[in-house]
Formats: sequence, C-alpha cells, structure tokens
Amino acid sequence: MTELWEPFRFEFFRHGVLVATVAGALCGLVGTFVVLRRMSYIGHGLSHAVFGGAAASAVVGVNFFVGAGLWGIASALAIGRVARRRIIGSDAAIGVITTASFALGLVLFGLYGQARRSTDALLFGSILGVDELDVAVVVGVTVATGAVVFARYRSLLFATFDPEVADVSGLRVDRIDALLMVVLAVAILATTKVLGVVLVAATLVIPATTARMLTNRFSRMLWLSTGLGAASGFVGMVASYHLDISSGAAVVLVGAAAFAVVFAATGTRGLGRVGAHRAGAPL
Amino acid sequence: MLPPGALVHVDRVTCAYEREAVVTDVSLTVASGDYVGVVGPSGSGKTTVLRALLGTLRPRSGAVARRPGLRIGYVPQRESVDWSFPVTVTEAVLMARPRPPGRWVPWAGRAERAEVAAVLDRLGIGELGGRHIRDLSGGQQQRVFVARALLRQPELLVMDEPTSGVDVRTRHEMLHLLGDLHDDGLAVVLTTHDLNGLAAHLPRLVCLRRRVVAEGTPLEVLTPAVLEATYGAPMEVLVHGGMPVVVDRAGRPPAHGSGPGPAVAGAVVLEGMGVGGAPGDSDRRTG
Repeated sequence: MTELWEPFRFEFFRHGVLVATVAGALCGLVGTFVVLRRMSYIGHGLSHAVFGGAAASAVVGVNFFVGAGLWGIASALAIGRVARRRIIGSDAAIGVITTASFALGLVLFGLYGQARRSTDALLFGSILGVDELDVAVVVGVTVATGAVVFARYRSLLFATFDPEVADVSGLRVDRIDALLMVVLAVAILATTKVLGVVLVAATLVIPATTARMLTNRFSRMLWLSTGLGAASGFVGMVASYHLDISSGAAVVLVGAAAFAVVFAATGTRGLGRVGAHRAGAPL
Repeated sequence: MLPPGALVHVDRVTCAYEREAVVTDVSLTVASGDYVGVVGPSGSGKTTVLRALLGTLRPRSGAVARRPGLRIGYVPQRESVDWSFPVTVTEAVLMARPRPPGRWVPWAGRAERAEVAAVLDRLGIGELGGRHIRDLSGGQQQRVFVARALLRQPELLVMDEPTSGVDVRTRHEMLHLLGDLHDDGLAVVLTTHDLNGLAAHLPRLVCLRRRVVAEGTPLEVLTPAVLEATYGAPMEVLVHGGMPVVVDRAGRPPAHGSGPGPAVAGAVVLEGMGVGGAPGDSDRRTG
C-alpha cells in the first residue's frame, strides 16, 4: 500500500497529479456542453488550432498562454461565426480553420529549428514537467470556468437545449454561444500544455459521454462528468508512474476504461441516453 | 406601426434564408384575445412567418412591430426537440425562468419549484416532474413545452405544428387545452397541417402559399377555390353541423402526412371532436 503513495514524495509528481486532476475536472465540466451540443469535433479542432498559436508565439517570443490563447479564442469565434452563417457546414468550417492553423504550427516549428522538442511536447503534453505557473493557470482557469457555469447555469442550459426558444424568451443566445466558445478555447489552452493536442479532445468527450450514460439529469451530468474527469486524471497519473507509461495516455485510458465499465453495466439503456434520438419520442 | 389593440403586426414581410424568397409580402395582425391558425402545404412558409413574428428571423423587406414589453411563449415543433438531452420535466420547464433577483445560486428555490408545480398541475402533468422528457407520451411532451411557455406568463402563445405526429386522442386533448388557454385570455397563433382535426375548429385561419392566399373564418376560407390555390390540388368541402370538412375529389380524406396536400382526417377524428359521425346524407357539399 505504501508503494502506491511512494511517488507522492516527489514534488514534480505532486504537481503533475494536481494538474492532471484539476485539468481532468475542467475538461469534464466543459465537455458536458461539448457533448450535448454535439461539438466534439470543435474540441478536437480547437486543440489543433492552439498548436498553431503556440508555434507562432514561440517564434515571436510571446508567452505561450498569451499567444496561443489569443489564437485559440480567435479561432473559436471564427468557427462559431462561419458555422452560424450556414454557408458551409460547421464541420467543414472547423476543418479549414483548425487544420490550416495546425499546419502553420508545423511549418513554423520546422523553420525555426525547434521542431522535435516543441512539437512532441505540445502534441503529447509534458505533464511531469509542469511548473508552478502551469499549476496556477490550470487551477485559475478551472475556478473561473466553474464560476461562469455557476453564474450562467440556466442560460447555458437553455441555449444548449433549445436555442431558438431561448432566443424568443429574450436570452442573447449569440452571446452565450460566444461565451461558451471562449471558455472552451481557454480550457483547451490551459490543458493542452499538460495533456497534449492529441489527447485533450479525448478528455473533453470521454467523461461527459460516460456521465450521460449514468443519468438523465443535466445537473447530475455536470457533477458526474467533472468528477469522472478528475478521477481519470488522478488515477491515470498514479498508474502512469507505476506502469511506466505516458501520463497523458494513461489519463485517457483510465477514462476509456470507465466508459467501458459503464457501457457494460448500463447496456442499451445507457447507449439510448447518449444516442441520436433526436426526433419522435415514443408516443 | 402597430394598429390599435394589436400585439404583433407583420406588415408586408418578405423573408429569405438564402437568395430565394420563402414568403413574399405577407401581412398578419394578432390582437389580444385572437386565436389564429396558419395553414398551408409543406414549404409554404408557415414556420418562416412564425419566425418573423417571433423576431428570430429578420425580414428582407417589410416590418414586424410588437407591442413594447410583449411576453411571448413559443412551443416549437416536436421534431426539433433533442429528446436524448438529459433534462427532466421540471428542469425543462424551469430553464426558461430567469434566476430571481437576489438569488445567486443556480438551483431552484422553494418558491420557484412551487411555481413550476402549479403550472404542471394546471396542465395535468403535475406528477411527472421527475421524469425524463423522452419517457412521456406525445401529448405529455407537448404539455411540458406549453408549461415552459406559460411559466413566463405570456400574453401571446405561438405554437408550431402542435398536433404533428400525435394520435387522435392527443390531438383532441391539445385542442381542448388550447381552447381553455384562449378562454383564459391568452392570444394563440399556431401552424398546422391538420385541416379537419384542428384548423376547422379555430375562429380564424390564414391560408399561406408563400404569400397569403386567404384569411377569414374556416367557413370563409376552407372553400374548394381557396384550398386549390393553397395546396395546388382539387378538393371538396362538406359542411357538417356548421363546420367545414375537407375531402378530396373522390370523397375521401387525402393521406395524412407532410406531403404537398393537407392532412385531413375522417370520421373517427370528427367523432372525437364531438362533431358527429362520418359525412353522410345530411352533409351539404360545396364547390
């Protein structure tokens, strides 16, 4: 048993566990809206867009969080705007904006000679190399995101469930959508350095999907998804140390294992909750 | 310019989603206490007119005037609802209520829960508050969204296809529910495909085919000429007990559905509505 807690003697590990747990909770919280709005592809795309911003900020010597943050927020708002105009589908808009941004990041890292190290760190995260600033950023963003969800709970729920009726009811749905896109971009930015571009999208989707299979209540889904994300981060970090595997991958695999267990336990009932039963309920 | 007594005035409105106009030069005035049905084939622009009236779609030309401070309750088509969304009946109703001033926690207080329970009780679904919205019958689902609209204490209730995809009994219940709400002083505007089961029972109809074809009482507008101009298909109208009954040229109700023709129902529906049996010898055929 004492072996299990052995890595906690190391400060770098304590930092890593704290960041992974908080980042998991943040992704679980934001992921609830991502999954219910069927925006999983946006989460995936935005993490790639942030990669371009990170490359640009490294090249011009701007702080990662400032440069990649502005880039990510601009990408998120651009995606939302293009998608709303309905000229092209939102999936195509995301594909164009985010993959172009990702490609630009690859080119910039390649041109300025820091390709290998920077690309690997951003693609797969460096959870054991986080410093106190990273811890402060992830905790700060998580607290701020929780405060936004707490303060705008009903508006976020209404605009997510039924945007047209929310609009008629006097809610500024466009502002709520923009707020959510900014929150999503900031959450991805804060967690990308820790979990990596490739894995952050999974931590947005897996806990929320698992939580959806467990409950039919929105409020419970929020709590469950946040808790599952946090638990995946904690257990994944501990497992990564003992099994000597990549910490980001371990976090995602623990989440996927929880999904598999819930899937097996709830069967078709759970799948039905997640499923695209959009039109026509049983009469 | 809002006419005296009007809640909403849609004035020569043309709306388009892309380049092609969906509705052209449409005018419609809804006053306090009105009960109006908008009928027309699929693609005739019924929902577009509702959106212009609600203010969610900006007209390309024309103007929509609403009485300042007008409270509108809107019930969308059942087909537009995400039934897999994780909300219970109480959550679905409560989300439309802004958080009361001074209350800083997001969950509902005792007074708000009592308010929701009262609305659900009024609509006969008081015992269903904890159920998921998918675990209800079609009629109960419609009542949930009517309850959400009523929670805002609207002066105007707008419903898009309230009887779409529901059975005869549910349609009957919905008609009575809307009648009761109208009797309580609520103005109601709805769209429907259902000429005999719903539209014929309303005091005022607007026939739409990208523009207003006719407007008046069911007896005035449910005529063979107006119906052919609206639906592009020949139809006959029987008058039974003072109420029009639409049938096709062969004397039978055309197929129910969302095709270009109207959804008209036969004897079973009419019995359910207390109108009587199948059109028989005593019916007066017009057209």
